[in-house]
Formats: sequence, C-alpha cells, structure tokens
Amino acid sequence: MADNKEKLVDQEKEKLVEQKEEKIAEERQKIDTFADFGNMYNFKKDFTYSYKTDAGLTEDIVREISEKKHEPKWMLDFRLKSLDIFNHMEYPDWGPDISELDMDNIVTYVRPNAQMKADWNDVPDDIKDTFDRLGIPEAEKTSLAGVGAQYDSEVVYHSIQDELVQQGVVYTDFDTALEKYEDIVKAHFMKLVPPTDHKFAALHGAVWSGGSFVYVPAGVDVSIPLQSYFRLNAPGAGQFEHTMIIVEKGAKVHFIEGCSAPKYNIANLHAGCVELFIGDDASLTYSTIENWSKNMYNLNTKRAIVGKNGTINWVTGSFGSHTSCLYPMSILQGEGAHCEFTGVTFAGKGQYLDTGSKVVHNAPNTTSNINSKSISKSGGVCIYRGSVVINPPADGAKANVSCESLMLDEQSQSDTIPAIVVKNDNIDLGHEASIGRISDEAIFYLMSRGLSEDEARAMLVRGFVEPVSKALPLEYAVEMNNLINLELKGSLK
Amino acid sequence: MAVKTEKIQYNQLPRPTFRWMKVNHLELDPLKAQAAPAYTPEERHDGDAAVIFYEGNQMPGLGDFQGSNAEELQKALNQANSGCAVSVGENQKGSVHLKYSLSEAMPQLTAQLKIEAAAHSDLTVYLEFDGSADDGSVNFLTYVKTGEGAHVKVSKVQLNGENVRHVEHRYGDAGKESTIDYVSAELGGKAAIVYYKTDLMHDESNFNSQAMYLGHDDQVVDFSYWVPTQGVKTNTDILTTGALLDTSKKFFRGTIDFLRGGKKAVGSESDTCILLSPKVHSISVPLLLCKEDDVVGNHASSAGQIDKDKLFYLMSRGFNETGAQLIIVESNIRPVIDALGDKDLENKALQAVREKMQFCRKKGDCHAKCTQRFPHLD
Repeated sequence: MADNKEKLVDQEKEKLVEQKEEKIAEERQKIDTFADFGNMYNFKKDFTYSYKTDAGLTEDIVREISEKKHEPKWMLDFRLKSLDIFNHMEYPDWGPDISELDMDNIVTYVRPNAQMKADWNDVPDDIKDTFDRLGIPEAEKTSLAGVGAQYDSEVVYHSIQDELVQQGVVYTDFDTALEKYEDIVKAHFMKLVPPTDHKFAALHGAVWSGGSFVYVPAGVDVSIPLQSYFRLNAPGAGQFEHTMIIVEKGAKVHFIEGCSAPKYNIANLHAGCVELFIGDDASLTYSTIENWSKNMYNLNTKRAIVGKNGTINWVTGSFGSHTSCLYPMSILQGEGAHCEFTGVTFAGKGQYLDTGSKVVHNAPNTTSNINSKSISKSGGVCIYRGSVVINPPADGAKANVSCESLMLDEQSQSDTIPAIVVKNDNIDLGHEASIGRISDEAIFYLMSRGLSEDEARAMLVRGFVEPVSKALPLEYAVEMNNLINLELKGSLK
Repeated sequence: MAVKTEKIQYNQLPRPTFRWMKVNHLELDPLKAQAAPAYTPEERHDGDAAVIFYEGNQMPGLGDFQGSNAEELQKALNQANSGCAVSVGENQKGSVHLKYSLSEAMPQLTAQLKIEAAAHSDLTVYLEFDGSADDGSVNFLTYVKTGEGAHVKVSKVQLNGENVRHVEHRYGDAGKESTIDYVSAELGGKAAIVYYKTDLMHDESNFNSQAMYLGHDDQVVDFSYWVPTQGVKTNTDILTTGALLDTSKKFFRGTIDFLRGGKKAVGSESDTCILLSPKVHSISVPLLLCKEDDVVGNHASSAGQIDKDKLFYLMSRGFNETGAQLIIVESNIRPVIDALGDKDLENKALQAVREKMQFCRKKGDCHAKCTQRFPHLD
C-alpha cells in the first residue's frame, strides 16, 4: 500500500517536471521562432516605377507633382506657399541631429507601376506579393472593415465593406477625396497642422502625395477597424502621405496605421501628416505600429482636435527608423473632451527615437492620460519628449502623465524631457517618471522558477509593455510582441 | 520710434525642447545699470569657520559653467562689488551668517561668495538677502567646494523688495563621500532667478536641495537645477514646493544628468505647486537624462488647488477659509523652512509667508475677520 502511494507521488513529481520542461521549451521556442521575423519587413523588390521626380526640392518639382496629379489650382498654390515657408524656415534647434539628411538627395515623388485597384488580383504581382508578405490581404479577410495600401508615393489598393458604404462611411485614398470631396478637403487640409508649424510640416505641404481619407457620419459606429499600410520600396525616396479622418458627432471608429520599408544604405525620409477631426461625443482610436527600416528619418506630424465629450485614443508602437521625431498632439477643444495616449518605443543599435505626446487643454473638464514606455538597448537612444498645456478656459481639467524608461545595457541612453504649463488654478495635474534597468531581484525570482536569464528578461520586457499590447487588437498585439522578441533576440545579457 | 531692446535669457534648459511652449529659458528686459559702491555684508561666524572679504575676482576656474546667464556671470566674476571667502580646515566645524542688504545707496549688488570645506569638515553658511531699491538687482555667484567626507550646508532666505531682480548662480563641486545641502526660501524680489549646477563626479557624493517659494502679484520665481552625476553611488535629491497667488509665475527646470560610469546613482526631483489664484502660471520641466543603466531616477510634478477635503476639515473645526488656506500652505512649505536650521531665519521666512498671504487677503474684506480670529497672523 505504502509502496503504491510512493509510486504515485513519484509519478506526480515526474509529471510536474515534464510539464515544467515543456513550459521552458515553449518559452525558448517563442524566442527562437522570431529568428526570421525580421525578413517579414526587410525584403526588397526591384525598384520600378512609372514616373519619378528628380532628387531635391525645387519649385519645378512641386509644380510637376501637382500637374501629374491633376490637382485644382488652390492646391498648387498651397504647395508653392508651403515650399516658400520651407525655404525660409530654420531647422529645429532641439531634438535629434538630422544634419545627415540632405534634401537634395531625396526623391519626393515616385509613382509605382500600378493604378489604384479595389481587388488584390488586379494589383501587379510584385506589389501584391509585398503586401501578401506583410499579411495585409489576410488581415483584411479576418479582422478589418477596410484597407488602404500605399506603395512609395501612391495608393495601389483601397477597399471598404459595402455595409459601411451604405451607412455613408467614406474610406478612400486622398487623391480621390480631393477629386470627389474637394470642399471638405479644402476646409480641413492642413488646418490642424499648418505649414508654418515646423519645417517638415512645410515640406509636407509642398510635396505631399498619397494617404487616406476617412469620413464617418454622425452616429455611425464602425465596429471593425480600418487599416492603411504604407510601404516605401524606393531607395533614397521620401514618403509624404496625408491622412485625414473626420468623425462626426456621436460616431466611432478605430483606424490602424502600419508602415515599413526595406533597409538601404542611403537615407529615406518619411514626413507624413495626420489630421484628425473628432466631433462632439465622437470617438477615434488611432493605432500605429511603426517599423520603418533603420535608414529612415521619420519626421511625422500627427494632430487631433476633439469636440465636446469626444475621445481620442492613441496607441503607438515605435520600433523602426534611424531617427524619429514623433509627438502626436491632442487639442481638447470641447468641454469634457478626453485624450488617452499609450505608447511604447524600442530603440536598438544606431537608432535615435525621440517620441512622446502633446496635449493642450482648451476647455472645461477636459481630461488626459498619457502613459509612455520606452526601452533602449545596444546603444539605442530613446527620448520621451512630451508636453501638457492647460490653458485658462480649462477649468476643472485633469491631466496625468506617466513615463517609464527601461535600459537593457550600459551603452544605451534614455532621457525624459517633459514640459508642463498650467495657466488655471482649478485643475489637477500629476506627472511622474522613472528610469532604470530590469530589477535583479525580479530576474532572480524568475530564474529560481526555472527560466533562463534571457527568458526571464524577455518575459519582464513583455510585461513592461503590456499596457500597450493590451490596447491593440489581438493580431496587432501579436505583431508588436513579435517585434519585441525580434528586437530582444541575441541582445540580452 | 521706440528702440527695441534685446531681452536677457536666464536659466537656459541644458536640453531644450519644443520652442512653441516657451519653457526653454526665461526672458526678461535688461536692467538699468547703476553705480554701486564696494560692499561688505554683515557677518558673524562661529566655530572654526574663517571668513575673508576681498576685492576683485578670487574665484577658481569654473569650467564650462555658464550660470543663469553667461553675461551676468561674467559681471559677477569681473565686476563684483563684494567678495567673500568662507572656509574650514580638515576635521573642523563652523558656521557663518552673512546678510546682504540693498538700499537706494547700494541698489545693485554684484557679489562673489566662495565656500570651501576641507576633508571631513562641516560648514554651514546662512545667507540672508533683504532691502530694496528702484531697479535694484542682486547678481550673486556662489561657489561651493567640498573635500572628501565634508559637509556643506547653505541656508538662504531671500526677502528682497518688490523692485529687485534677484539672480543667483550657484556652482557646486562635491568631493568623494561629501554632501552639499541647499535649503532656500525664495520669498522676495520682483523676479527671483536661481540657477544651481552641482557636479557629482566623485564616488558617493551627495546633493540635496530643498526650496520653497510663495509668489504674489506679478512676481516671477524661476528655479533651475542641473546635476551631472558620474561618481559611483551618488545621490541627488531635489525638492521644490510652494504656492502662487495673484498673477505670479513659477518655473521649475530640473535636470538630473546620469552620465556613463555613474553606477548605482540614485536621483529624484519633485516639484509641487499650490495654485491659489486663477491667473497664476506654473511651469514645470523636470528632466532625467540617462546614459547609465545601473541607476534609479525618478521625478514627480504636481499642481492644483488646495485639497478641498483638507479645507473642509479645517473649516469644520472653526477656521474660516483664509485661515484654513494659510494653514495648509504653511504645512506644505514648513518642512523647508524648518530645515533652514536657524531660528531667526526661520521666523523671518515664516513671517514673510504670512505677510504675503495677508497682502493678498487685504484686498478682500475678509482680512479684518481673519486677523481678529487669528491675531498671530497679523
């Protein structure tokens, strides 16, 4: 009897050990699986095009782009005015060093060998293959209500579910919007981000091309996300897409933006512009997984204006680029408007990612909550640069900012540069930030439970960014975790 | 046609940020230059402290220290009308009281104060600034050098008049296992501008700063800190707390700069501001710069009105609103005042706080009731 009992206990023990080993093997495999994950983004196609401008930025080039796109005169005038502003404006005297970015070497417009289609089968094979490898058509089938795909300077595919069209939702490429909805575009185009805002906003105003236009009528709830994907294949080129989203009163939408490019030995430039107009009681979630190649200067501008009781919800994951300057801004213009920002930035070798968030409270009882995480490794530089401004009309405003930075080694750098301006006494503001490395105690604890040091560190990093992955739809959370695993692979001490 | 005068920029942020926010520095009109005679402050000292007054420049090289404004710093170095050197020898202990008073006869003070503490010594310097003059100014350079294991504490109460611009450039160089402590009550001046840089390049060196302020009328209070740390196991602790009345403005720019090699460093900075009027401005820019992974850095910043629950509690115990507000503001800044370490200075600071709170209240009709109920506030 006693022998049987001992035997059972032994069997139970063996079973537990087996389970534990299986679990460890599973964790190891999770990390190893992503060995080739980088190839998903870093693959090149032959550089073919139907038309491209010369490198550099001149009035002739700006006129050429406008002419090729058959734009109305006001848009050409706008481009020329922006060019003039660009030529007279100084580069920012703060932020990363962008002296190696030479505009004379950047090709501002590359039209791919394809017209815009609404069926993937009509898209040329090499371009379709690019988006297949990025998983876009598959995602469209399973989890998206509409897709836009831009290749270099132009959109090559756009679709939207019929049901949404019947409800009056518009999701189209920006050239079509300019043609079909000219009045709306004219009333909103670069009104939130004027070309005078900064030098790269002026550049965008001069040479913008491609991008998406979304219009959600009052009261419509677009329950399944829309996604635009931007792929830059041309070496030495710039991508300057313009995204405009107008969400009318009481409407709701989730927009996902993805971007990537293969790596070249010359600098590429991304200076897109996103303008979001969110009406009263409306809600917009804007999610971005940015994985530009490590030769990219990502100098993008995003801004939202939010009406009464409206909500803007930013979710961003920044992994790619050589240099990034990206600070999505929320202007809380209506009473009770709310902003939520959840972001993670991961800088590896040779990367200088200067990211953050800006919020301006302009109305009573507006609220904002900023939650930023950053990780730097292998000499990468992560900067959190943020701002909160509470203006005199914002009686009863509440703002909370939290930024946490994790450094994975002693070659990296991580800075937090927040600025807070309060001009009203009836407010409540809290800000906190911390910098440090993974706690030795936490690693020791996990290792005492059977994980290797690498596995323990990877697990802690995934836990660190969990608030961001939780805010994303499942498929994108998985993509983000894959990117993190890829970044971590081989870099952990 | 009016001649456009170039503004003076004070307290430049070591790592500038967005220009549109106008937080990278403080800009003020230049001051009218006035003749000022040579000046010697009131002085008394205890223990082993030695005090020498001098003319000209006796400051050591300050490296790349730019002070609050490079030109003003050069004036303090080359055109000082007051110079003072305070020192203690190895294993000695002492304290010094210095009082600098402005007057119409001495409207502009441009001064140097050199504080040197040899190894394992302990030195406390009490600084008091008062007096006023039309277009008065204080341009004060303080240099603090601590030897191994030494401790220097500088306690300052600034009560200059309402027409005075008070600017202090303070540079500290902390030796191994030494500590530099600053306790400051910035209560006077039309503009109170302080710029502190302390290098923690040696192992286990420490820098602590506690500062309080109470802004009123259109006063500007501007605190700027920059602490580069490269020694092992250094410790930095910056605390700024205060309240703003009327249309006053407060700037806090704190930078803890963890340099590579400064392992096991700990640094924290905190800025708390009570907003007592709808037209005040509170600006906070707390930076953590980090090139070393084996450190712990934190910062926190908060701004808001007096906690309504606290106010309600005190009023339910019989205090009127003004009295309750004063108690809460006092409780917030009292730890800094208590840390000054000199009863006379503490009382002066406390008295100034109460006067300023009442200065505001006198504009309303509650003052008589308030002082009747709480005669000690008058």
